[in-house]
Amino acid sequence: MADYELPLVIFTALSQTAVGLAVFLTWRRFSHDQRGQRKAWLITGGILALSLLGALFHLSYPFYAYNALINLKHAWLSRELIVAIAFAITIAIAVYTNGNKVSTLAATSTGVLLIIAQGMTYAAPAMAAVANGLPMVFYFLTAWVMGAACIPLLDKTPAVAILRQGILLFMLTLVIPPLIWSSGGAIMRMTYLSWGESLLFWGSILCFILAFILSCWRNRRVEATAVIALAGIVLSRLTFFGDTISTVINIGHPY
Amino acid sequence: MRRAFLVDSDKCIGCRGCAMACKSFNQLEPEISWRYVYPLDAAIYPHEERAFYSLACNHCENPACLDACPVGAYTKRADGVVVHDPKRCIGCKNCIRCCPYGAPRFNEQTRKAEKCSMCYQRLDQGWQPACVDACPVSALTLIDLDSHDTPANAVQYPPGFPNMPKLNPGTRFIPARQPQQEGE
Repeated sequence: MADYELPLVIFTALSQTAVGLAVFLTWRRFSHDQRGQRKAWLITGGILALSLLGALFHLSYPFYAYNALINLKHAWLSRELIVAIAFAITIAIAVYTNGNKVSTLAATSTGVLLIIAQGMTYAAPAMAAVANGLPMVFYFLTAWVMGAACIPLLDKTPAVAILRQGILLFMLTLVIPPLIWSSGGAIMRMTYLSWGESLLFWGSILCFILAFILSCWRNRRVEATAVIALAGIVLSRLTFFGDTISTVINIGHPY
Repeated sequence: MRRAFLVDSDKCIGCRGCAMACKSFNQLEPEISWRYVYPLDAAIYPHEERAFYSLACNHCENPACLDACPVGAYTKRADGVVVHDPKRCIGCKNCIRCCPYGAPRFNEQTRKAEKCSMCYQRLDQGWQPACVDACPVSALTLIDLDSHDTPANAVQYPPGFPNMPKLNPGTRFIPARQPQQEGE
């Protein structure tokens, strides 16, 4: 049975949600929105804290997690951790300064760096189909969709058009790469079949369609849209971690 | 010096003695193996269960495990052997996810990764690795990739072995000769 890496799913999905919120809050701040943002940044920090807590459950020895900073020279996982800490610090500064321009820009910059580090970490050489820029694209789109879906919950200002564009792009990114894999090597074809047979994969597509439809309704349900979008992200991430095929399983067979 | 395994598929009879010797010498848990003997698919060798690759860690030039490990549990010795230090491991499994050859394995008892160390303790005493010593047909030997003792017919990426040029795995293979019909 595939290992769906639930702690990593929680960590990546929620930390990218925090990045998305940071980007939108910064955008709002630079769009001459002078409302206070302390509560919004506090919630963003809470989401990031939850994601980091989730990541700890992935480790066999969570009390030694600080050792993961040792191999900055080689490991993207170490870099990911240090950037996540930097992101947390910049969010704390944004809370303290009530979201002034410099602190919001710093938080967004470290958030973007976090997604780059995550994209490099999870592009494992063994997972031939996703050992490329695809994880990073998924992660940026997660920040886009979740940022647009959740920002109205924080400042009551909708971002419907951006949300719909993000959902559409996410769905295209979920569907097009497997179609390309279907004409690739053995591992890519196996990943195409594995994703195609995965209820999690189709569940994520269904969630995105539902979220898109909800965003089009006249009486928009912001909370429901955000929850369904998050469900779509989580299901697609479970597919990513659990249904992507490793080269290991085909040793002794043609590649 | 860069030590590497030479797997002679033409000689290998698939007895799995190498895997058992590895398990025995390293006192592995019953469900864990650092060396696996993979039978070749009929598309590679036409007779089932007649040609094999005996594989453990390939001690790559640029190991994915070393690049993936956030705690620096993997080190590369001067002789090219990639060693895992279980004391440092925090069980993040990133090495397991990254290695395209499945060398690091997760030990459910210790909740840490572990892998073939090419029996470096034995090497340092001038002995051969346990798997090499145990092979009854000398299908598994140790070579130095920096010298010129690699057989001319040895290949790095035979069919059925992931092609990872960036990692540059050390293991070399002598492919099994294809069976011939009488008169060919």
